[in-house]
Amino acid sequence: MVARRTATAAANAAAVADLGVELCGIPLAAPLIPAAGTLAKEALGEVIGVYGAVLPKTVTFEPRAGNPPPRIAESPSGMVNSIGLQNAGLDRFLKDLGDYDIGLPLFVSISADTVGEFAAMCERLAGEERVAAVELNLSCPNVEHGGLQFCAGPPAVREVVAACRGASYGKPMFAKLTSEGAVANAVAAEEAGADALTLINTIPALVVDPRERRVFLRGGLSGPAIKPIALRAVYEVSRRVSVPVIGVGGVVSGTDVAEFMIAGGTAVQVGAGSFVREPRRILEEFVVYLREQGVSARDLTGALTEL
Amino acid sequence: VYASGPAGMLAAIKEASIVPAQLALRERMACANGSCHGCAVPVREAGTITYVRACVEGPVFPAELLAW
Repeated sequence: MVARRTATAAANAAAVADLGVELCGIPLAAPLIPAAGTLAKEALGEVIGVYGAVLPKTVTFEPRAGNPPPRIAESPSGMVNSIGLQNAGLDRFLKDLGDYDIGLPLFVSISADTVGEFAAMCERLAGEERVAAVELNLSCPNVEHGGLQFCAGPPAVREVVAACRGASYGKPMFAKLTSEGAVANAVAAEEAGADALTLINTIPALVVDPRERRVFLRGGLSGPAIKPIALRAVYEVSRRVSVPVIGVGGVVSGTDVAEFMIAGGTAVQVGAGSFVREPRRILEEFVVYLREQGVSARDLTGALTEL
Repeated sequence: VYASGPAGMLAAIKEASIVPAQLALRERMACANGSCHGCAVPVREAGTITYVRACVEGPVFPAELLAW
């Protein structure tokens, strides 16, 4: 009985809240997108009518087995992960591309070991009509530069984004950056041709086993613990660039979504948050917020009242 | 043999079994729906070792498949 009332309320709410946004010319029915690596094919059914786009797990050129366990650990208000980009590789991904078709724009996250490999993947995807945009996961190490991350600084960012721009033939391209050096990297990415910026990736973190006295996990921190850091990155970057910013980091509620948009985000990704709360609930809360505030979703972008 | 319990016990059963054993794994899980790949366990198929998701591809596995 309660469930039916909630479902009806949600349907009514969706009907009177204007959720649509436009991202790089791509219309999204809602400003909510899954963060790379947090939505599997098996779970697509649960997010119809919730997310504005589909974004599967990061794809690499060759298949990757991923890291040996343990790959995850809990942390206060979050979790640490070191999955290791397990995926079946680009060829297999493209073969099975139809599996991700639920009538929503498809964004593809890619990662590579070298600039050349990044560009080669962009070129392959450029010819694929079913792919609406490509997100560059720049947190991985560039093996041609001694393992320095692609997002380690403006020169590295500029090099990889420019190469990808040249190979993308106009397909929208988002550069996903870390919080470290976000503004400088964002400016470099925009100058090199990124159409949007996704901020932020996970934060480098460590989990120690105090009894075994060893490192239990070395990976990236996600979840509500990082939200204030992510918000700051979105805020500072969106004030310096003209391209849209996609905010991500610790979103678990509808007001979190609003906060990221107010801080400057055009759209918001939900990652670890979807492991603890249904994205449908997050969207419903966002709808309630919009109705209470009497605004549409697109009104919120950058709607921060400066002190 | 059908077994469920701590990892050490399951490993011992796998090692000792002379009859087929099915092991119910208890892995750390974050999403529990196949999305995060955090619960991956190593399996040996056709000579190669790959990681499969215990949450959706298990959690019960034939002992001889596991590659601990």
